Amino acid sequence: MKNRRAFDWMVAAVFGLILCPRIVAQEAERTSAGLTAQEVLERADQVRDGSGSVIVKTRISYFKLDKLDQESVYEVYAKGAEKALLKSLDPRNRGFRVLMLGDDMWITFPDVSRPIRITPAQRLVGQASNGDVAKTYYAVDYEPRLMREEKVGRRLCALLDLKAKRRGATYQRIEYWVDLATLEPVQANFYLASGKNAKFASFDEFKTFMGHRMLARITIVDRLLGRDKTIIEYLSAEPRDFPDRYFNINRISEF
Amino acid sequence: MPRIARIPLISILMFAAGRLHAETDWSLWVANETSYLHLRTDSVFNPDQLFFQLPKIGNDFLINGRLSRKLANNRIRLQVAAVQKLSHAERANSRFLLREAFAVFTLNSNLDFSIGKKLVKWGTGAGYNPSGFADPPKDPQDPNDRLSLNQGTELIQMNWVRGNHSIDVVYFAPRLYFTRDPIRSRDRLALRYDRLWKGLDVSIMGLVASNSPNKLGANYSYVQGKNLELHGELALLFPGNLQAKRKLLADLSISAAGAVEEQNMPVQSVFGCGYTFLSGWTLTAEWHHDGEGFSSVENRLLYDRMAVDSTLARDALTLGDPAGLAAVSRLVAANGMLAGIRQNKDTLFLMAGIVWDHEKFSTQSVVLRHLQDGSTALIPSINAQLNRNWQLYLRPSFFLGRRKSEYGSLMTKMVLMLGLRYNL
Repeated sequence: MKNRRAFDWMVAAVFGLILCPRIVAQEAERTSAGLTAQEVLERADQVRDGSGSVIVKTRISYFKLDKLDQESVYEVYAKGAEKALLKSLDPRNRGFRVLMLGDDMWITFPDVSRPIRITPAQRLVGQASNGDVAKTYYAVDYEPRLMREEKVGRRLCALLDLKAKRRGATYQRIEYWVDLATLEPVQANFYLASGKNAKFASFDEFKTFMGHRMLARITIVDRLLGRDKTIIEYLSAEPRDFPDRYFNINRISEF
Repeated sequence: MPRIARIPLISILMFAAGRLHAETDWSLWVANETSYLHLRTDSVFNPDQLFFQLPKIGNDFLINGRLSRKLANNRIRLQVAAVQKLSHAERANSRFLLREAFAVFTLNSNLDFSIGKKLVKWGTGAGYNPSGFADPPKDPQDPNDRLSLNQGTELIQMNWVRGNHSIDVVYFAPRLYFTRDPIRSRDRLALRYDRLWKGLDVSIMGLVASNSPNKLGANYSYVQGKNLELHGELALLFPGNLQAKRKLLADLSISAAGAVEEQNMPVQSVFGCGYTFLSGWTLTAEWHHDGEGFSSVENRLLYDRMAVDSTLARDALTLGDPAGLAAVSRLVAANGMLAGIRQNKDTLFLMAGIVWDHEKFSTQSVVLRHLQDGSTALIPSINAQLNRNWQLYLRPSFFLGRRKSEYGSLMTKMVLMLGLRYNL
């Protein structure tokens, strides 16, 4: 055991020696306001407020050729960045629930207590894919790099290049524009592993929920489906303390 | 109360209760399903429809409701689910099913107790759940129970959860309730330990039963990468259900030496995976082995016997041949008893599904192939969401195979179902 630990330290020391000069050389680039890419990303993530225990009512409207085609309402119970449960309030999907525990995801149907395991790729199908755009705390899932500063409309933005660092991250790469004055997200392009630009999102509206300025409306354009777009609106948000046991696959029906 | 009166009563109660409180969760839907049957005339169990006159067209109308309510600061949860089914084939009949009626008491942050009639699901398989000791029987031809007709079991359940660990103890307590069903009235005690560890969800479970085999089982599910889901289940039976099998074979006058194979510890298992393609299609494949019931040899003897009896019975009933009357009684006995005994077999289960046009349309196709006799059941379905409330679906089922095979011996060659559903 002792030998094993000593070996680990030796390996760490050797790699440390090799990598140390590189780390020094790649000192993080900073914005004109003096923030690193990671700091910009973390501040932009705060508009989603993934730190507490919260219940959010969400409306998703789907527009086909600029005409309202479908509308669904959900309740999202979230605790931190890792635990979330989505409950449909729509008549056709009543009793349908989605549980996310980090990278792992289950769906459940009414009347049956044990949920069904689904793959991350299934998140790309239907409305779940848009939910993923809205839910993700990018600082957890992605490694940021500052590309440049540029104007979007009248707003001076930092353009970040985000690379997936987790197995469960839905998109391989995101181009992310963050307003340098307010540090609020402005827009983003989402790329699949194949390099295809799958979605474009604009972060349109911010409101005060629970005393914090938070994201209230996202418009998502599906690049693969042409002019179709989805609008996600956060209708209300209130703090609610959920015990950890609620985010358990055996207790999913308790919500 | 007349049965027909239950329909509006359930509707009103469910609808009214749904409006009572923010913590109330409910669902109510009505559906109408019309079936057209294309009959098989050479079925070994029902030659020329001598014993059962199956109607060619049938209709089911259902009202299905569920109400769940939390009380006392979420420490008590009550749930009721029921369905009223009106069937019309040759004559009308009405059936009321109380699917669930239970209360859950939360004693502290880790411990829950449930009492009542409750649906529990432990299995991870899509088409088969051999380790689902507490589960309702699963029909691989309808794995999602499209009409929500599965019923719970009367039980007392303790569920303990801490972090990613969970322990269930379930006592199936039919004696505490009124029941006339001799199979469901068996005493059973089941235990399960479940753990989610680094994305691997694994369970071990056991069942002690008073009048049927004891069981030991395990199951798992795991997601590998972005596209692949893996799952499996295993159950060992102590001992196999030999008595019923021997009795049936004796009743059918099958007494070939060595025909009855001893099975001291039959194994039931399912191993499967699901893969999601970039196009959105998800394909699920499972290999299911059922070591209980008739072996291949026994099964072949059974079908041979039934085929001979079919000819004798036809002569007896059409020509008045008295020698065939024994064959008639054997066929009737076989039809009655076969439901209780499965066939020792291996089955390939394939399911492919996709949703498109923002969930307006979906399709799911199931293929079941009996790997020993080569017979196949093919069940494609397509579902259209007409608007926020209305759904329309078409679900044909085809049963293909030789006359002496599992799906080739069924009384129908094809069933076409057309359903319309309204979600309130």
